[in-house]
Amino acid sequence: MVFSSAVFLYLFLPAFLLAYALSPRALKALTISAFSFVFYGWWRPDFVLLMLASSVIDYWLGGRIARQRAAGTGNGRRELVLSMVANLGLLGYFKYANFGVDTARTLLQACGFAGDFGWTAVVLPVGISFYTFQTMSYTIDLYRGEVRPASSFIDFLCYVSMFPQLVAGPIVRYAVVEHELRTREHTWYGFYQGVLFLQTGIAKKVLLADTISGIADRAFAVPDAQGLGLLDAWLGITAYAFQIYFDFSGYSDMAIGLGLMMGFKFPFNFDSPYHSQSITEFWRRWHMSLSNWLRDYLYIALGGNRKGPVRTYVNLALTMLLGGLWHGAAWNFVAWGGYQGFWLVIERLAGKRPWYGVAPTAVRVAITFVLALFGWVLFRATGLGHAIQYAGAMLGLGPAGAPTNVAALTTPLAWTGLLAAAAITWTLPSSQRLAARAHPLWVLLLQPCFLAALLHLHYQDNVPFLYFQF
Amino acid sequence: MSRSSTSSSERPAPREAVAAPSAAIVATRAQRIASLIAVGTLLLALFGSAAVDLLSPATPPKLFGIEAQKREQRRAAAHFLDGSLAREFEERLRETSRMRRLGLAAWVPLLYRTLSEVPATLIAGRDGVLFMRDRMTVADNDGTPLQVAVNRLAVLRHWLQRLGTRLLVVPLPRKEATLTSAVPPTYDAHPERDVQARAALRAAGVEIVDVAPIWAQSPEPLFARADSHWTPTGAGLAALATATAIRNGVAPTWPRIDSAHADSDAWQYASTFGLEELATNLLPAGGHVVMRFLDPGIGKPVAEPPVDGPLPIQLAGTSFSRNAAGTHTWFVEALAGLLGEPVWNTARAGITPVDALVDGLRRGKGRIAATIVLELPGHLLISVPSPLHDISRVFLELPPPPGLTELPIGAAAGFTLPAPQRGSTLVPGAHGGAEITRLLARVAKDQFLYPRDATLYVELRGKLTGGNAAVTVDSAPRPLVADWKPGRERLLLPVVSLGSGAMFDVHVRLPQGVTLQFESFRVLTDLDVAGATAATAGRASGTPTGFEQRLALPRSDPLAAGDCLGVFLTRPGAEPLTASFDLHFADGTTATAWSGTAGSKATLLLPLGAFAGRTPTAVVLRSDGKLPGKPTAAWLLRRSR
Repeated sequence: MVFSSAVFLYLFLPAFLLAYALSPRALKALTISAFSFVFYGWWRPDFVLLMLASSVIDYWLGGRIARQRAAGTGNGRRELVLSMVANLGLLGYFKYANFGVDTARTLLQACGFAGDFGWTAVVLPVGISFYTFQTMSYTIDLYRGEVRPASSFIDFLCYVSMFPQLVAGPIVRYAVVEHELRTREHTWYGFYQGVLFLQTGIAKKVLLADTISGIADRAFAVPDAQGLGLLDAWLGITAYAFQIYFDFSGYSDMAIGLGLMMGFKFPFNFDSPYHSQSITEFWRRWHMSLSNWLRDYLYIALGGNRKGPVRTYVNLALTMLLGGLWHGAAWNFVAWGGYQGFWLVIERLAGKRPWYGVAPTAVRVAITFVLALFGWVLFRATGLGHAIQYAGAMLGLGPAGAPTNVAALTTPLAWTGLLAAAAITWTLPSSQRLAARAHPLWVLLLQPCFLAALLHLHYQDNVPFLYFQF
Repeated sequence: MSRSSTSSSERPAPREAVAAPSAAIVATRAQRIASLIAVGTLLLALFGSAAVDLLSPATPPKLFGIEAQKREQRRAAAHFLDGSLAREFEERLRETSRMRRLGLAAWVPLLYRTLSEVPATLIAGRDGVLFMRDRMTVADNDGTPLQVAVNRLAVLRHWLQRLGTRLLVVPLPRKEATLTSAVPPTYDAHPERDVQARAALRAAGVEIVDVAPIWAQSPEPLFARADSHWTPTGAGLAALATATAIRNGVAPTWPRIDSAHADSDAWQYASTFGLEELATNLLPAGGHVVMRFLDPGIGKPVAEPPVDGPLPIQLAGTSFSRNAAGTHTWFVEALAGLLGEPVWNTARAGITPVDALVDGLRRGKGRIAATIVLELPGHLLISVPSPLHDISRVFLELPPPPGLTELPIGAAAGFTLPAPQRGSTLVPGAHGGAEITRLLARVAKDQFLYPRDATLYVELRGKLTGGNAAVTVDSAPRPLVADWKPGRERLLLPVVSLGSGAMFDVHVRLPQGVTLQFESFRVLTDLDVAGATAATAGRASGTPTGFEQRLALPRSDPLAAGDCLGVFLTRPGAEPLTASFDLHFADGTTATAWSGTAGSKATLLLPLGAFAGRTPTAVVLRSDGKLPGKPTAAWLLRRSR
């Protein structure tokens, strides 16, 4: 089920809010879990079993780790390894098996072998990348002694399956909600702020991301970017940059808002990333919950910056490569991770300053944005070859072909959306800052936007969130 | 992860910035009012919509023809486990949402009037003209699907003609190809394709009504701005062109007309956008003329055929002739008025005329109208990937054309078809049941060359129970696909597609639970097989590249369209070889009847229609490979009709 669908907004959410409000405190976690399973299983009920299995394994292993540590009979290392194997095994099979088989087949065929495995493609369960990272954080933090075990399986199930952030984040570490799972406050102002986040998220997703999505789709639909004009190429990737930002941050806002309405405080995921003056800063502002997860559980585990400069650079690059692979099982995502890692290493070499650090602020922001755009080419393209061709078109090096007319086919609504997205990006603070202040004027302006988004949601076909595929 | 860190600062800890609400956001009176408005808006929108949609659902839109069939199939196939049932539920919710309809009635006009934004299925042109997006494109570039459809229409026309019925096809020009000045400059509707389609129909011998010339003289708008249908002016002129064609070129005069009424375009915009009537107040009003005949007693459309006696002219049409309310449009009113006789309107609101044609053939109860006017929307020929893909339904309703005889299969004297390949499963007996069953009869590839111009027909006999079976006749390109329904014990389908075929297939697919007591599979033809004239084979002689053999034909009449040359070609070895057949005529000229690659032991049925009027005296075969031990055999097969 997606947030921006009639069935969610007009059936599921009212039913949930009603049920949650009427549930006694002791049953609220159970209510959340039950609704979350309906939410998750709506399109593929069988995948609920997978999530349930993952939850059972980690709850059991986590409990064993905690008991061993409490009794002093061990540190739970074996259980931790088992948890990692189980979670990464699930993720590896469901997310990367097809990729591995395809790569092996390509290599074998290049060597003259048939390379036919008779492999049946595995269907990727929605949100598996997010919830496996969450359950892993639980066992790792227990192993590190930084959290207490969940007080009940229902509480743990509630943590893993909580529908607001289940399928597309933010990645909520157990430590963040540990206290709230046991006891949390339900306040008017918390609910109100949640409403503001939810309304902002829906408006961002529907009025901005969805209205400009056609521009990017059209530009990237040009086969191998043949004949894609310079301006069309820039228009397409700029539109995509805003689309993915408002789509994903809109989803995060909705998740945070729904969490607040239930009394949970989820981590922020975006902080005006296109205000960044370097790629290093960009990664402090973009998909923050993933950045933090990778930093704490991968980069530091690899040694962080504690083993000398060379290892620091290697760790940084490796973390970003794996971060890229986390997004999708394809070489262009790995290349995207490598691209980001390259710039982080370059900036780290220059003392954490970008090579354009002497330029005025506006120029630094602009250059960072352009560097991000080239990264998004790798992210959005259908493959590495396509990405190279597209980037070539952005540099005016595209091969000659039938001229495309991405700009000419862009409707007034899409132009309006694009200009509004740009204006909002660079003139307004991030939504969490707006929601934190909740200025009455802003709240009143938000209401027609929210209602317009609901109307536009009826108008357009179902447009899923981009991060669902990861 | 790029944050500066030391060993101690890198300890993983929940140091994420979290959404921490504060009571300060409702500290002032203004803030509290704002909070009430925001929360109230959300709850009202969510719970209000839920209540209205659940307590007062709207009637779902009525679908027609193939869209309705697809929806039913989708619903029947929906399952819980794969999520398709959930998607169906969402679709149903969308269709019956009253709040959605009310909301869109305001939102869509607002978007259209402020930003010229239209739903994805439409394109907004100049001067408020709307176009259907899918009709703006051309489905293919090599013309194969169009030519296949044209050939099938030509066969239908010929078949009906042999049954004593005149088929008149009215290819409706696409709005996109007619109002070219209103098409946005970034789109190309390829108007030349409409001209090409009409030319292809004419070239194939299909009698058509070309409305383009009469339209070209009209200063009035021919299409509604907000709708893909004609204005009364366009419909009236199309009716005049059609009536003139029915009267074999004699243009009838117009009865007296009242054209004083004017109607608003707003309801058409609302209808095209799929909106409630509520939206009409917000949409552009515009206006167009409405016409009606002043004098009673002139020809009228009728919805039902007479109980007995000959049938009136049948109009097998689409929503250009009958709207969703079941009412005749001005086109058919005008046609009947101009002709001064009743027109039996079997049109269906929808986009395909096949339903209307089938409906008329069924309701005629054995009678077929002397004239059938087939309304054919241009985009069905040009913009869809499989034009008239379901025309087999019409063939199945027709009585067999007179003069069909069986073309023997396997070893027999004279010209025969090769026997199906070993392993063919389409054999007499009981088939199907618990599993999906696929039955196949195939005449070997490279061993049989045949024309795809309805020289051959496939006849299947059997009793089907438990549901429909899918029958596919012929192979690429574009085999004919038909539904075999229980109660129908005989299917007769023409082999008609494009060019010549090399792999003659007949497939029958029985879904799970469907059984077939199959009786027979025959190939019929309207060639005079019994009266075939055998050629006298001369001695084959070697050439530098292979061999040559002359086959003398007995003195005969000049060739007629549809005559064929049947050949048994036998050469040493198993590999396919090249061959050519040159015809020698009584006037001393020669022409190549066919050249290409054929199996070493092949049966060829070569159409000779291109040489109609000329008298053949001999056929000369040239082939590579070794000298054959057995002479080539050939027959001149005359069309029996």
